[in-house]
Amino acid sequence: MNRQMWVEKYRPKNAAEVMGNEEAKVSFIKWLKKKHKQKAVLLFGPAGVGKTALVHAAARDFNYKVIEMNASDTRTTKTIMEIAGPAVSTSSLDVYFLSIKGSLLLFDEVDGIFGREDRGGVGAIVKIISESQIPIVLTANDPDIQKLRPIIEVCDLIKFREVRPPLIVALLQKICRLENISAEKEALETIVQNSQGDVRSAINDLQTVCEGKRILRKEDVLSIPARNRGLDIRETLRGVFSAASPREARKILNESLIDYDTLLLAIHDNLPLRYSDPENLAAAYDVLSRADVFRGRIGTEEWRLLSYVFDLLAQSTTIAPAAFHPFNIIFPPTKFSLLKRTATERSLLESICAKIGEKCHVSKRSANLEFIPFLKVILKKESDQASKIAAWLRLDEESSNYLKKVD
Amino acid sequence: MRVLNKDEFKLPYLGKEKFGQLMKIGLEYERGLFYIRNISNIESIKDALSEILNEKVVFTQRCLICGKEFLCLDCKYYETCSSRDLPFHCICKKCSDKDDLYDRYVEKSKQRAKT
Repeated sequence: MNRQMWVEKYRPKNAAEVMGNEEAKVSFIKWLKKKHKQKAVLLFGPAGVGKTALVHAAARDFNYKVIEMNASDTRTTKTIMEIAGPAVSTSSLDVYFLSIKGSLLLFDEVDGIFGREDRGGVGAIVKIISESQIPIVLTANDPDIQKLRPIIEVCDLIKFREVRPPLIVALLQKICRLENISAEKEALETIVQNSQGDVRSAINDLQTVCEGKRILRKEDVLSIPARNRGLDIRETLRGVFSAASPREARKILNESLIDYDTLLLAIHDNLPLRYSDPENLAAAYDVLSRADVFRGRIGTEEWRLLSYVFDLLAQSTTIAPAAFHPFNIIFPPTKFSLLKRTATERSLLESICAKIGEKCHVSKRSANLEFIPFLKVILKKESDQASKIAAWLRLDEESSNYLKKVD
Repeated sequence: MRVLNKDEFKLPYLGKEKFGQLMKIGLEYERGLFYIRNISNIESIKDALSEILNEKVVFTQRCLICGKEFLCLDCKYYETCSSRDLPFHCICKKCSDKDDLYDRYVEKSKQRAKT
């Protein structure tokens, strides 16, 4: 019997065969046709919905050669520059010899770049993007990861979602026809339901249950367990705030993919939108504060306390379940936005303190505490003396303007 | 429940603040009609509209095969679909019963790509 995996055998050969995510497909093809602002694009969304398949299929349609670095490769700075560096910096001879339009660099599952094995990988990718002469495509399951922010800032973003059930059923019906398998529609619908929008897992499950069969009946698929896809942040927040009980909210937190620190901050920001009654809001913050206390006591060893953190988070979001009304979720947490906004300012202040430290032989900390307050006053006066001091410290216009405007 | 057309829709007078909020999260406004500019942010847009209108908001779907508009409520997969009521393309009930659905889908995709 032919043992080839059906996900490979029935991989889309052109973009039209990629099921679902019509809006994302159109956006990506527009980007590939060079109607884009950034050199790189990040396709993000759940696993198995066609991100990588679309890249390969569209590359075939538009005659691009794909150079791929995927999650199984070690992606340190060195290996990235060795493999991708030459590809992005010079025109490929393939353009002339193979009559292709050019190369396209694919970093698959870029959110897997963590850990010691991939040291420096994010920085190398950002460098490659800035110097690249060829299109760069990245895929990720979850772009809401702090370490990916440098990459996100230099990419166009295209969101993929779970593929809708009727489309997956249509695909499975086609595969069954091609494999000469007579399948009951209810059986295919059960497979699709369990896959939760993941086309790859639906095809894998179909192949598993069809092993050795020519007829697929509804009873044959009862053994397939439902996949636990994991909830993203918005699904998590929507779920916990609209839950009818702490138990229901706790169940949603169990399925969430989000780290507990981010969850705590996100729930903190959204509580005032959830509870219009001040007493309920006060009660919710009281419970949340206790969750925070437990979180602080976990440290690096007391992980058994994490269960209490989740219990208390679930309680904080379900103080008055009957009083729930839909509201616009705030995310990312305001702390992240604030840190991002002030990162530039903090970086500028640090460089000013470094210049003062160099000239006045003091530490950056002393420069900040003892020199900056006086320098602000002097620069705001805009006298000749102020200009001379700024010139002596080698402060550029941006630094001077920053000191003049900040309190 | 408020049904909004996926391509363009009207809203009652909202006031400056709520109008600004909708523009910020990804809607456009022209000649009395609202359009979705940033489909990536559609969940937030739907939540905001539900909050502003104080009722559940659902968007119509457009069938990829016949071009007809329909509601997710008419679909037998309503309970299991994670993007239900969001303004995406899909397959209507009538077309989903056709035997050659996959081939028709691919054909329509190719036609859309040419345009």
